[in-house]
Amino acid sequence: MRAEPQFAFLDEGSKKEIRRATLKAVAIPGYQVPFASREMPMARGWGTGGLQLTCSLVGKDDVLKVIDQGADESVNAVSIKKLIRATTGIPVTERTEEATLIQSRHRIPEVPLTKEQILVLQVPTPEPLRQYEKKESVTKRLHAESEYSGAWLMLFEQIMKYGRTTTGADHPVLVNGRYVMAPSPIPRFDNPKMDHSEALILLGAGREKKIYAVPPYTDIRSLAFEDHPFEGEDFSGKSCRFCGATGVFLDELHVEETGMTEYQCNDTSHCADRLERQDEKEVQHATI
Amino acid sequence: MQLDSVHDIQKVYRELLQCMARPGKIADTRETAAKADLIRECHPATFLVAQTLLDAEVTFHVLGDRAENIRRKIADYTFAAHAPAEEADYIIAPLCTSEPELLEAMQACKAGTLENPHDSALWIIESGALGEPAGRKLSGPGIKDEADAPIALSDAFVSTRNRKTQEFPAGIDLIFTDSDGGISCIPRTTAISAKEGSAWVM
Ligand SMILES: [Zn+2]
Repeated sequence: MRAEPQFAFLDEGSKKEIRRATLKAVAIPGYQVPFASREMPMARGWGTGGLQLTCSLVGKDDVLKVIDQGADESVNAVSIKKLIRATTGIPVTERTEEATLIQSRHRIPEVPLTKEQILVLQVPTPEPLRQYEKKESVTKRLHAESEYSGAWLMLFEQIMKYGRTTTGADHPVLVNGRYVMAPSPIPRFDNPKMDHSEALILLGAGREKKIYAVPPYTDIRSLAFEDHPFEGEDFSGKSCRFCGATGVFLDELHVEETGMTEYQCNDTSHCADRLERQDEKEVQHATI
Repeated sequence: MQLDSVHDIQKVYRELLQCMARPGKIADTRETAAKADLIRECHPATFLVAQTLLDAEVTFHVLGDRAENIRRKIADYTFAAHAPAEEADYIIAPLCTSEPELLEAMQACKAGTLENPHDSALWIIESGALGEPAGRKLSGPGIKDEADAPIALSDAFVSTRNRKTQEFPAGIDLIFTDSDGGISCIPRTTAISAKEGSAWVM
């Protein structure tokens, strides 16, 4: 007899282990809970941590959205969607509002998430102190003792050298006043979306075998100095060349024909959604 | 109807996860719990939570007079091994557990260390109906402003629990279950207020 394929790829024992680790992660916001990361049918570092979280969460009633660098159609996002769809049969969507589970790499969607949604972030490097301390046994002790002067020094040196912090993405945050945490390689623009989020946020690192979490309504502060306050990427005075959006994360591009620098939404599904709505409005207008 | 070990357990897990993420929230697992009425001596929701989290890789401990039967059945269903309260990963306090026994075990159980705070006991405590006026407020991560405590808690219980969580991140996390499929959580990060109208100070 042929064994039935496993729902959501993982066997129930693996899911159980991930679920136990996830509950601890939620109970200790920002603390990296070790787990026995499984082999997934993708290379580690391509979102296997996030994927395992998604597999441990997903049920028959879920609707999944997968984002990679703001886009739903990248190779990575497509292969994750394929795997989940093939092993669960659940629908996938590009619309943030329709999704119950959102797995993302590099972005938090522009549309504010709700308490009915869970955001899963893929993490390549979960340890925010790794840059200056190679040994896991030492970073664990530093977290235990709340000894974060190294993290502050790192930022301070950047300011001395460049006049500002140079973290492009993955700018460290302080969770609930206790743990310094890597928010995953989201742009600084997205850091404030973690603060007192309505949605539960789970982070998974497959290669490093860590799960951590930001519960809803939890204090998230980006590390900064009083005289050098934290700043997200600045897009003031700029707007999307397609949908005209302002106050969103924009990609800069050089348009060959005009020789001009233009901007467009990084969150492509949000952009498409806005365009669609603008079309609808025009149609309504035209028929009146 | 039989309990579906994939889909029913997934549903329970999601409820449990949202409860742990939102202290004071009460989840209703009645429909699933109706399929889990397998151990006469404990609430179906208790059995559901055990089925969701326990397997041969973890240990558990059951308190109370009827511990023996519950212990045997949970071990049969989950393959988890029974362990003394000081070592167990999961501690189950059935409704019949006396408060002195519960508090003694709470003092003795694993709270993890500052380096490994996850190596701590997760409690499954059976209670009367969740959601009755409890006279205490909860605050902390997962709670917008304030939430009502899901269940009345004695001063002795709260002070023992607070002592156990004072060396955060070490601490213990609590899951409450009632006879009607209700589940609610109080993780270690939650501050529990003094009883309304009492002079007791945390
Ligand atoms: Zn746009």
